[in-house]
Amino acid sequence: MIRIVLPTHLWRLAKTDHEIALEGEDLTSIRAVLDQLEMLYPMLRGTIRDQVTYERRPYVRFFASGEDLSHEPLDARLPEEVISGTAHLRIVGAMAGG
Amino acid sequence: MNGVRVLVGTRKGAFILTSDAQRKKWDISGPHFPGWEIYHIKGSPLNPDRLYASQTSSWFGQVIHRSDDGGKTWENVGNKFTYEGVPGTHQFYDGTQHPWEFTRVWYLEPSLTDTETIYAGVEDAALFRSSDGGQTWQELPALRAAKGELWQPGAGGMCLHTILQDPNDSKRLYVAISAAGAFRTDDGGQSWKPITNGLVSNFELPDPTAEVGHCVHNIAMHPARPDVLFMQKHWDVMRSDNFGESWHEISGNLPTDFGFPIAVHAHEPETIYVVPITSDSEHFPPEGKLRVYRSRTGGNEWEALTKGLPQSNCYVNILRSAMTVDTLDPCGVYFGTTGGQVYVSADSGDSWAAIVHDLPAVLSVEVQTLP
Repeated sequence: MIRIVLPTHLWRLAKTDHEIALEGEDLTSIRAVLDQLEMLYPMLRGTIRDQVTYERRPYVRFFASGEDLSHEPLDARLPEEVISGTAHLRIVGAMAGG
Repeated sequence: MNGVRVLVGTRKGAFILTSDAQRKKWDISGPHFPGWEIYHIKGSPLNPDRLYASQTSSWFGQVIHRSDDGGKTWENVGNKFTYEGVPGTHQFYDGTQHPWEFTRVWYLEPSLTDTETIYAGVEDAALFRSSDGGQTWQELPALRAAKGELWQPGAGGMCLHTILQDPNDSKRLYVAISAAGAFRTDDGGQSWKPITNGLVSNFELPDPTAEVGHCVHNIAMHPARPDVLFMQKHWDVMRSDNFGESWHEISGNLPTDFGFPIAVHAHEPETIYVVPITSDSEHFPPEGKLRVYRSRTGGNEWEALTKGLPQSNCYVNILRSAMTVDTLDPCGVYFGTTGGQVYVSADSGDSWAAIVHDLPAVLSVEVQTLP
């Protein structure tokens, strides 16, 4: 189980809570997590990554276990504590004024 | 209910203001989509309960919502805007060619003839159409063939911000694009031509009468006279009497002819409204006095409308999509400011009152006259 924390704009858009749990043994990378997240919550398509290139939007960050995973390859293996569900994968709107 | 529903897009959400035909007592709902920039929210002329809202965020991109109950509830619809074919390039700030990149939807224009059809004007400038109520979007790519390689972004981005439909001919559309100009199609979007003959941009362009590149801020039309167009250009208020084939200046006695929105009275096709702004470098009203100017002669002769508007220390701006009119009698005129006020005049501009004072900066104002 993967536990994801969404920023306010996105959990409101998805009409869910700020934390979403995804089930699946193959959820070991950010790409796999986002694929399932967007399948279950299609309104999130385009808000975290581009719908055509699948590149992360510039002001979106992925944090887990005290690390910034934003610049890791999308297929890189997530930290084990995230894969096991003991730690969150946090999807964050980057700090910026406005 | 005989009344009005005012749809306000702001930097931090949408607000819906409703009143009866007197337009004195208002109910306010919102913020809808709190925290999102609402560039435009507009209703279908065929089904007033069908609304569309463009919400955008520098962080999370573009989202489109649709309501079928006048804004009480909203449904998420399609947000995939993909340019047709190889997007190509346009002029960039530094003179180089830059790839077309979708950023946001500036303007939503529901069809006059089909409830499920809606047009979207986007940045980087292009026109999209949906025929399924916003679920999917297809570009009308011929527009960018109208010398798109020469278009370049203005300070606000390279945005298609105005879409007008000819009520007598569903195949005729007008669009306006910042720092590109105005364009018309007579065949439903299969081909487009710049309609800029007569525009002069002495300070903005190396060739002041170039076919493309003029910074058109807004265009308005009276539905009974679709051949007559009124334009607020960066500088200059302009008029065309031949579907945009040629333009002539009607700035007349305005204190400054810089500004953003322009609107036409619902029942008097020769009565038009602008809000003069000091200059391109000072985006606030001259002398700190918020004045709408009205011409009842189709231009050139203008009168200041000040009753109920602040006449000292007012330094707000009124953006291009933030002024509109209802179709009641007397005609109501509305505008919103970057200071968060939305003003209404229920007497064609003779007097004004603030409906709300303290919203986030207002990006757009539309009004629906309800049966």
